[in-house]
Amino acid sequence: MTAVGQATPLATPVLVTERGAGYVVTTMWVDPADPIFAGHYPGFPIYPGVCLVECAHRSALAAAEPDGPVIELAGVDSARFRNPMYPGGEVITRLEFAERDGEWICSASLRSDQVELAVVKLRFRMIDPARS
Amino acid sequence: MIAPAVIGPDLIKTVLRHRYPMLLIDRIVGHEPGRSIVARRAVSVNEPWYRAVPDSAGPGGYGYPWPMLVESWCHAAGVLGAWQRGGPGVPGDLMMMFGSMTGLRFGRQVLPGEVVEHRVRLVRATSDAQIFEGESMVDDEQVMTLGRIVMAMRPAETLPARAAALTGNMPSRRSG
Repeated sequence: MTAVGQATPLATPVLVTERGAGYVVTTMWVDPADPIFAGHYPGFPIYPGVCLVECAHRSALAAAEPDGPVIELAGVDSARFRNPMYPGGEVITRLEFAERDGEWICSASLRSDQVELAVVKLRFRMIDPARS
Repeated sequence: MIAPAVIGPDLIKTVLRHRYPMLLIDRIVGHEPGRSIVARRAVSVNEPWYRAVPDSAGPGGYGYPWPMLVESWCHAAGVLGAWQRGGPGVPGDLMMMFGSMTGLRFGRQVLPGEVVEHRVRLVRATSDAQIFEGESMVDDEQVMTLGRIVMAMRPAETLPARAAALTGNMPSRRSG
């Protein structure tokens, strides 16, 4: 996969914890020491919604089979934010994939404890591995 | 107020609560108050998102992370939205929270050294939400399309208890 070594706002790694029939589950620790909280927002730390989208993105890359097609993010079909994520907690992401017209659609739901954080639908295109 | 031709960080910071490393627009270069805005953002390899890129990474390792480009575009939207409550220079007390985003498409990677121009149009506004659309350009090339971004504007005190408890640490700009 091309994910390792790419620029990302995530301060902690996304880890695959479960692979089932048609789904993958990942986990990511949101570190209160993440420097991003200094600016989002001063005195009022909230984990940025776009970082939850990035968590889904990195989860999808981590979930992809090493010998499968190389994929890159082509778009966000939708992202709906239900509740804010605060510093110090685990983000659990559950992903499902479907192939459509040569692109991969990844549906992800993110939660922390029992709180639903976001529902995200990502679109990936397959790229020529020689390019990256 | 009379808006200057170029709105820089000094005025941007009066309407956005975002600060380093999450203040992601550099200047406003054009606007029609309440309708549209054009903002610029210079991408630098010195941004924290590049800290984990190893020396062995090829050029593909330096693509600007898409979610941060979305965040940057949304900061331009936030400044546009601020005209509803007076515009830059008039401090507000509302927190800008993501409601939803739909129809985002990404083009080629944006690289350090490039200047991104965000174009934002206000589609609709209610008392507690704003809907935007637009695109991001590098020179004449469209690198991102944003179909529909919904921002909820919330007084900080209405956020869930855990966040509200933290506001005690923050210098208040509330008038009431």
